[in-house]
Amino acid sequence: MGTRALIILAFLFSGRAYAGACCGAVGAGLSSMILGDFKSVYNFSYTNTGVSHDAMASGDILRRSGDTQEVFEGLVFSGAHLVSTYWQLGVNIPIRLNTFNSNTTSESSIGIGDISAQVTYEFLPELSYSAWKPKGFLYFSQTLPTGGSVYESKKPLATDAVGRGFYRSAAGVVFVKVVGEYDFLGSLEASYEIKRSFDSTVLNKSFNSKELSSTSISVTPGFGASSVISFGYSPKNIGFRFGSSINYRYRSGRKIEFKNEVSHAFSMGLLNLGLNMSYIHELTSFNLSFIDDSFFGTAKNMALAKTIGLSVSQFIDL
Amino acid sequence: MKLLGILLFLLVGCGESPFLNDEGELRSVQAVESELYLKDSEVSINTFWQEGPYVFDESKILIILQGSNGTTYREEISFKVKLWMPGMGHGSFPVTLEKIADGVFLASEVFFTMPGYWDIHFQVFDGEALKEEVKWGLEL
Repeated sequence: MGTRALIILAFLFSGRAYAGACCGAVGAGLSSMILGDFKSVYNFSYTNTGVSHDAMASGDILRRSGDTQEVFEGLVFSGAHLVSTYWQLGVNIPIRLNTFNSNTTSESSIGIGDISAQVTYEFLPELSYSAWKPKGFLYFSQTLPTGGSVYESKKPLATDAVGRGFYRSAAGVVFVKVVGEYDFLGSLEASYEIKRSFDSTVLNKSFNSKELSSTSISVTPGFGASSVISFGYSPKNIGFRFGSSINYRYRSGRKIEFKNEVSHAFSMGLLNLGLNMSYIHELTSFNLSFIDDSFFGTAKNMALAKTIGLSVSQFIDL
Repeated sequence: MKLLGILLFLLVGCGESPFLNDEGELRSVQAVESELYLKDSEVSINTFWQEGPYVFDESKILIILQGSNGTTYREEISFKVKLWMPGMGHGSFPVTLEKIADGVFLASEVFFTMPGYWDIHFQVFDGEALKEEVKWGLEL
């Protein structure tokens, strides 16, 4: 019953590298979760994200010069396990490699990104056949600032900012429906990142000295929201699935408090397009995806990128 | 299958796209000279780009402080330069200031880490306390 489609959908939301060393993830999307009748799922993915455009606060989108290359690579391990009939636990562990090259400057850093854990409850199980009634899941995820943020960066181009740097709590709902060879998914998520203080080196260097000193600042990122609409087609008997998704993300502007002043940043927003192709062999799936942040030309106050992803997912039967 | 094809077509046909049409313009930056004034200290700040301004690559700024009598400022001053991107809510790697002569400084390791609007803060300190500052806004 559309098991293959559900296998693939689980990958789509297992995390990706996000453009912008400064800003990390604008909404983490959906963590890995079990959407079908399985006991566990383990996913290992690689993503390569190249920044191609910049969206200004005005909404204007400008192409990056070909002289510079800003690339974010991610290796992510994620897994989910069914702990009871309708409850499952998941974890997401990313490793991030940020690289920057220009005519005169080259910089790269690698580190563990922001680790997250998730609990999911299937509130709308599919207990009997229905032509229209979907499966429904509620989830809560917590992200820890295990990766360094731009406010803790010690490198000129901030490539060592491999995380967002904040405790992030998110809650969301996912609906999934498989109808014959077609599958559909819709999700909504709201998140909040709490205020955090940093001893930031970005603001203070002693006069006539190369030594870095630090200044305390407080940053409140605030609220975020995201949504996904996805559909796919799995032709009979060939083991492939072809899918597409539209993703929207929004994050409110940060509030930054210095010793003597308060600064408010602008909000961020993005609408992007994802395409993916998967092949399934028994309980293992191999997935190829492509995400284009600039496809719709709808974004605000952030770097836009194109992402290629490869992943392998292994499912454990009940 | 027909439904999938129609939906894909609608997606592709949804207005203009920088990706499909390869639109968008290459960023270009312009060298800027500007005069700024620290009112309490009665100091004019004259800035000249020695290199840049560049996005991503290192820029360098020659900074000349002028006193009220029109000559270069010769008194002791605790002077710092800070880069901040107000729209994004973050700054950049701290600038290195080197005193070339009385009232003349070279700011190096000036890294604008992304395109957009930046404020260069010129700050005067009294010990650890910020005495006054003036901002120079740049769109890169």
